[in-house]
Amino acid sequence: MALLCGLLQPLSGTVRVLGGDPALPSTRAHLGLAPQELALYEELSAQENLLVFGRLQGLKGADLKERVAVLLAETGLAARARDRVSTYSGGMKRRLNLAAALLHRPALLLLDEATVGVDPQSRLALFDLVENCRASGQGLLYATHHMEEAQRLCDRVAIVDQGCLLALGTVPELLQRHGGALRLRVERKGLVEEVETRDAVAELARQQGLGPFESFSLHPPDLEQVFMHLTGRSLRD
Amino acid sequence: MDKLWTLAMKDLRLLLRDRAGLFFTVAFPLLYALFFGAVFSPGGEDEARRIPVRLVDLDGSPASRAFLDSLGARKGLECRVDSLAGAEAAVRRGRASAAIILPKGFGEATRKLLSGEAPQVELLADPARQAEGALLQGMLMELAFRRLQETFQRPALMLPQVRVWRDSLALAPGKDPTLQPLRRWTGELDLFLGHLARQDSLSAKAQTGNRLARPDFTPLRVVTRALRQVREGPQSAFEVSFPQGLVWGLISVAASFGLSLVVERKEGTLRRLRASPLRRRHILGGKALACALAVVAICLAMLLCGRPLGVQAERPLLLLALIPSAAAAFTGLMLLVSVLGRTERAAAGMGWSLMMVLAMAGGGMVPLMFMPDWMRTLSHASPVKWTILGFEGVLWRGFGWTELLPVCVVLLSFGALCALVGLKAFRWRDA
Repeated sequence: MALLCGLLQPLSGTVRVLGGDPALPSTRAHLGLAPQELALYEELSAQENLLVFGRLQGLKGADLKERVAVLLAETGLAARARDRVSTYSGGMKRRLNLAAALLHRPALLLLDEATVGVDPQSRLALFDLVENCRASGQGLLYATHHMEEAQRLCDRVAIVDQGCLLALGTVPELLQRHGGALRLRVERKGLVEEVETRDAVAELARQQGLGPFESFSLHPPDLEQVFMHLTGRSLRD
Repeated sequence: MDKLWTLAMKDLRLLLRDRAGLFFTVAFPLLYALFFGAVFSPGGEDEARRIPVRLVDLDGSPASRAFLDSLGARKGLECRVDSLAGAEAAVRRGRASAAIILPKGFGEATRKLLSGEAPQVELLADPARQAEGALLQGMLMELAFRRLQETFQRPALMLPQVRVWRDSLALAPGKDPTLQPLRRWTGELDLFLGHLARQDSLSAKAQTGNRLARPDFTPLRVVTRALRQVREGPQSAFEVSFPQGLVWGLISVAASFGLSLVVERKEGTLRRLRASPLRRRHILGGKALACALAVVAICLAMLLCGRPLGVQAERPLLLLALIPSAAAAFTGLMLLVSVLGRTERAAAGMGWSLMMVLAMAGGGMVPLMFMPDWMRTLSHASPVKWTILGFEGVLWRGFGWTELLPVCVVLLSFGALCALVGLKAFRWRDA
């Protein structure tokens, strides 16, 4: 993210975003960053924060006021727009953090852990906002540790571990390449057993031969499985 | 410029929202100036010169009462009638500078002013307050002469004196040839004064027309003429305390804005600013502009608040050079503070330590005149010294452009040097 925003210079190679060098303000003008930390002025209100960031992005006059009003409404903050951010909940701050990135209708939106520490309602509201952006044709780079978010929001997913790109593709592609087999869960005498299989019906017949069981469930591979498959189970620093 | 202005206004708004910061930036310097100005100001003229005196009347005659009344009416004295023991105790304990005692026989002696012993007054004075004792002695003599003058001016008062004198001459033994004409003269004087006294009581007009002397007779007329004193040194303690208070405001501004950069780095807003289409110079320039505007606002506010207390620039145009120079110096200092520590706590600790050293060395805490020579030499390195000197120069040292310009050059150079170090050392990578 830091490289894409021009905050860091690459040690080797070059970085191009939207065809331009992110070190140049003209390139950054088309980027919208919602950083992981809540980069907001806590002693200003939501409206004041958006007005400041909007002006710095080059918006002014009626256009700025309109964008601020629209985003306050879309993030559900209009009623508290004049209250200081320090009085907001974590979810409200996250929504404002995203609104600040969307103000100038950036061609590429960079979201870094956009849903950290938010309540389920705020999370859904954030998803709606992001999906709206995607639907309107804005590019979106979404960094997350929650695989279900990536699976829901992203067209293409890159699995990066310790600075290395391990896999890149659409969700079905990744599932197919790295997701592994189906998982069959069987509950027998209070114990749950999970087995991977390519042929669920044959495996179920085999399980029946082993003895009666109370229930079973079938789980298709998901991104979490892909991630674990690619990165292993050892803890990361 | 639009972006710089947006950033500066954002910072000034944040400063206004921070109550503690605002207190130390605006209210504290003003309170400092008012407090120390008031502490070192002399009180009112009358209050300062009033000498506490105890009065003891052991005679209890109309003359002694009149004498004490005259003393009590003196402006420079704070008189209180007391017993002899009480007055002595008051002087001994330092509650009174002196005691004036009118002994028994004071009234009788006053009646025989022309023929007998002079009336006596006892002055008990604290030897540690010799100057006040001498002043009181002078006041007593002045009062006695005034009463004597009054006696000579009014026939009704002079008549008993002449009669006592005449009677004593009549009773005098011996055949001294000089006594005879004196007895004759006092007899004629008695008749003359008796005539005048009668006329006085008959007609107010005759009273004014036939006096021995005019009622406003005075042996010496002193004419006073106002002459404005040539201004040397501060006219009030506020002229000293305001530049010092102002410097504390500027220190607080530099520290607040310097630390706000560290906070922006820590909270991620600097990262967001850097990701927006701003150049580094915009980000730091906006902060510097806010700091400089705050410095100018504080200088103007302090000067405005000091105006009713007599804190006024002799040549206001000089402020046009001094205030921007001070703004440059403290803005540079702000940039230096912003790189002193990685964390807010470290930066605050180091920043305030630096400010304290600069304030101490520059005479922001103790006036430079009380410092040893080596400390005064060291003070040249502190912008606090030059800022105070500049403002004192404009307020009461009588600086012109020739004296002020070197001060401005030093402040500008200091600001430029600090800004250079700050910009070089600014940790953009941490943002």
